[in-house]
Formats: sequence, C-alpha cells, structure tokens
Amino acid sequence: MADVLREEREGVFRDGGERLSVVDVDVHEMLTSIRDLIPYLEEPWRSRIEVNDGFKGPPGNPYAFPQPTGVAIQDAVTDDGSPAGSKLEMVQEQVLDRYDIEPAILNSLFHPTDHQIQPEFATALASAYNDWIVENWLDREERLRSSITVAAQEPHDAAREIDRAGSDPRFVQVILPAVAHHVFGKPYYWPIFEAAERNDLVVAFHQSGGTRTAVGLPPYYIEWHTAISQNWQSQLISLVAHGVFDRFEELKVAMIESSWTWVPHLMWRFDYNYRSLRREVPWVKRLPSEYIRERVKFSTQPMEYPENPEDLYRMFEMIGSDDFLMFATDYPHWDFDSPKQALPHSFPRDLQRKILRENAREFYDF
Amino acid sequence: MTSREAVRRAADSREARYVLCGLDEIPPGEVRGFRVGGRRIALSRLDDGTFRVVADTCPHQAAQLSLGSIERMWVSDTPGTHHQSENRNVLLCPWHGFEFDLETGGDPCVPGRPDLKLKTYRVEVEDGEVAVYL
Repeated sequence: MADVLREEREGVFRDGGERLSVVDVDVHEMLTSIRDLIPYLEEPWRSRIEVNDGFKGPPGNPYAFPQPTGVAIQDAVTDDGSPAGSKLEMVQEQVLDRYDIEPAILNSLFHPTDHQIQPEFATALASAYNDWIVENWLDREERLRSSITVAAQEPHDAAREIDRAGSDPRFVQVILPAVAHHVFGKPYYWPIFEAAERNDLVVAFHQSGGTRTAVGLPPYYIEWHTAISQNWQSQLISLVAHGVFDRFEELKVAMIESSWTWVPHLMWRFDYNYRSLRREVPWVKRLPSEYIRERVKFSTQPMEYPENPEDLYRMFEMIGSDDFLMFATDYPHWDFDSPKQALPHSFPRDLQRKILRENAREFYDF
Repeated sequence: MTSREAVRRAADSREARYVLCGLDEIPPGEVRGFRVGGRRIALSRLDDGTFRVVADTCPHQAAQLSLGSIERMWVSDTPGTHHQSENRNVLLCPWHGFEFDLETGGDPCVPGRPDLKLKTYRVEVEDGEVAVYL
C-alpha cells in the first residue's frame, strides 16, 4: 500500500488525520453507441447517424481483439454488454467511492481528429460529444471534471469549440490524440493552443486509434503497447521545436498514459542536440528540458516496475522535479493502476502525497 | 597605443604580450589557431574588422575550435523565421557545432554552465600588429 494511504474507514484515506482524497487524471467514459450522440446533433449530421443500418460508427482501438480477456478490468464489465466505462454508477462505485477520488478527469477516447469523415461532421461530432458529457456525466456527478473533445483537423473550428465548452469550468483541459502521422506543434494547429491558453485550459495528449509505433501497426498488440511512447515523445519534441511554448507562454501540457521513465533520456538527448542544432530553431530560447520541467506534467499510469523499486525512484530523481507526476488509474482498462498500490515504497512519503493529489490540484487549479 | 607602450604596460601588469600576426593577415570572418605561452588560442576576426581571442580547445571533446567557423549568431523572435544578430558573434565547434559567444566564451544554449565556457583573452591591434595578452 502507498505509505500515505492509511485506510480509516471505507473509501476515506487519512494522512496525519487529514483527509487525503486522491486526484485521478485519467478515467475513461464511454458511449454505449454512437447513437448516444443523436440528441446533440443538428442536421445534416443527425440523420447520418440515425440511419438504422447496423453501422457501429468509427473504429476506436486499432487492434480488433487486443487483450485475451478483453480491454477492461473484469470489475468494470457491464451486465448488459455495454462498453466498460459507459455506466456512471460503476465509475462512482469502483473509482470515486472506492478510492476516495475527487476529482477524476474524464478523458474521451472518442477522437473525431482521427475520423476520416467530412471535417465539418467531425467538428459537429466533437461538439455533440462535449454536450453529451455535460448532461450525462458532469451534471450527474460533481466529483468529475472533463476534457474537451475537438476535431483538430479544423483548428479554427476546434478553437471555437474550446471557447464554447471551456466556458464551463468543469472542463479543465483539451484532449488531443497522440498520433504518429503528424505533429501538433506545427503552426497550423496553433489556434487550438491559443484557445486553450485563452481559456486557462491544459492541453493533454492521450493514445487513440491513430497511435502507431515507428513501424506502424505490428502484428501483436504487445508490440504496439510496448512501443507507443514514441507518439508522445514525438508530439512533445514538436511542441518545443516548433516554438509552441515560446509563443504561448502560459500554456500547460499533460502527457496522459504515455509512461514517463523515458523522460530523462529524451531531455538529455534533446538538450545535447539543442547545443548542436539550435541554429535550426533559433526561436527556441531555452534548453528543451527547461520547458518540459516547467510546463509539462505526466500521468503515473502505466507505471513500470523494475525488479529493484529503488531504480524507479532513481529514474524519477533524474527528471529533476517533484511536480511532474500526477496519479492516474486509467479506469476501466486492463492496465488500471490502484492508488493504494501504484507507488512503490521507494518513493518518499511526501512525494507520494504530491503525486497522488497535490501536483494535479496545483496544475489544474483544483 | 604604440607597440612600445604596450610592451611596457604588459610588463607592469605582469601580463604576457604575444604578437600573433599582422593586421591584414586575417581577413574578416576568419578564425586561426595559435600556440603561444604554452596555450592554444583561437583568433577570430569579426565582420566589423575587430578581433576576439578565446581558448582553442572545445570543453566538450577537445576539438580544435580554430578549425571551425565564426558567424553572427542566428536568432529569432518568431517561430519559422531566422535572422542574424546585430551584436552577438559565435565560434562554431568543427565537430558538433556547439556555439561559443566570442564576447563571453559561454555557450549561448547553457550560459550558466562554467564548465562549458571558454576562457577569453584580451586582444589589441597595435602598430599594425595583432597582440594577445595572456
């Protein structure tokens, strides 16, 4: 058990007498079907989904049967066959109540950015999804916050959606898919970052159906799942190299489910290359590692567990900031991490508190 | 200052004065290495005709910096644009392209790292000669 989570009574943890509610920066709500969005769509888009021909909508996971036991932890499997994560009551019981989590941030896995559909339709779907989140999740559970879903292929429309949805303070960030086929640091996408900064919202990256490895989609899911950090790495490198952090000086970025033990390597290599190649990107004013330490946070999940837990803590220390990690469960997925077990004893008690709660509270201003 | 006055002043200040070359031997924009007083130094002539001297050994992997090149430092305030600085000049290491500010000896990417800084030396043009003081 994490040293700071001493259970006093069901679902409430205390540290030195003080309630220690956990902040979870990665919970996934799911549609039961794309048809859930019908009430939130105007024509001409509504009727395209209303067509009752059995079409299930755009695909999500690039692997058809990724896990032999399914994509969810078994607790989260529903009685009626609807997707794990589609029932608020189960999220309340299995996440919020069980671990005294408040708040939890919902990160949509519905990414119109990935959909090969008419761009105006993608924009309408993003907007409908945000309205669906408000009515079906945020209005029904005050311990939830959410990400804003956008269709990034139309950055100016995405910015308008960020302005619209972002007026509701329960939306705390914009979620972008960590994709392999282009980088979001390019100026084409800057309206999204500008809108996020304007609305005091974090921009988060999470894997999606567009996430690939350096060799694309290898045959086995384990190959893909082990290698996909490359996507977050490339997106992070692009944000620095294209000058996003220099242009948007208040912008904050969250890397969700990227893992994090690769960060020391990336910072060392990036800084070293910067000394040789700064002239190529002279608008980048500081060492890349400085932007990363100051402006970027990472989720804990999926934690990695070397044989010696001290090795994991040494990796953490190499990053040089106590603030950069935020706890995440990734409920309801098979690689879920429990707040009671995720952090090894090698992490000092004060640091566990920061990771389980305080870092996210400060970053998102909870 | 005449070279005779310079020699006298150097003796008084306990600096060692070494004449490196004639004023016209190094055209603007070039850098040349010298070994004087037991040290390896790099003499650069900026595009305004003035001279700078720094240590000639890169603190990274000991490359001979005088085999590199000098330029006005590339800067930008707007992503996607490039222009050269009005007043900063850098010496580029011939191996890894690390930059060293010819005024301070520091690497502009890591100005706070004394271990990555070159020693700088006073250089004067006296009676048509380029002299360095170590």
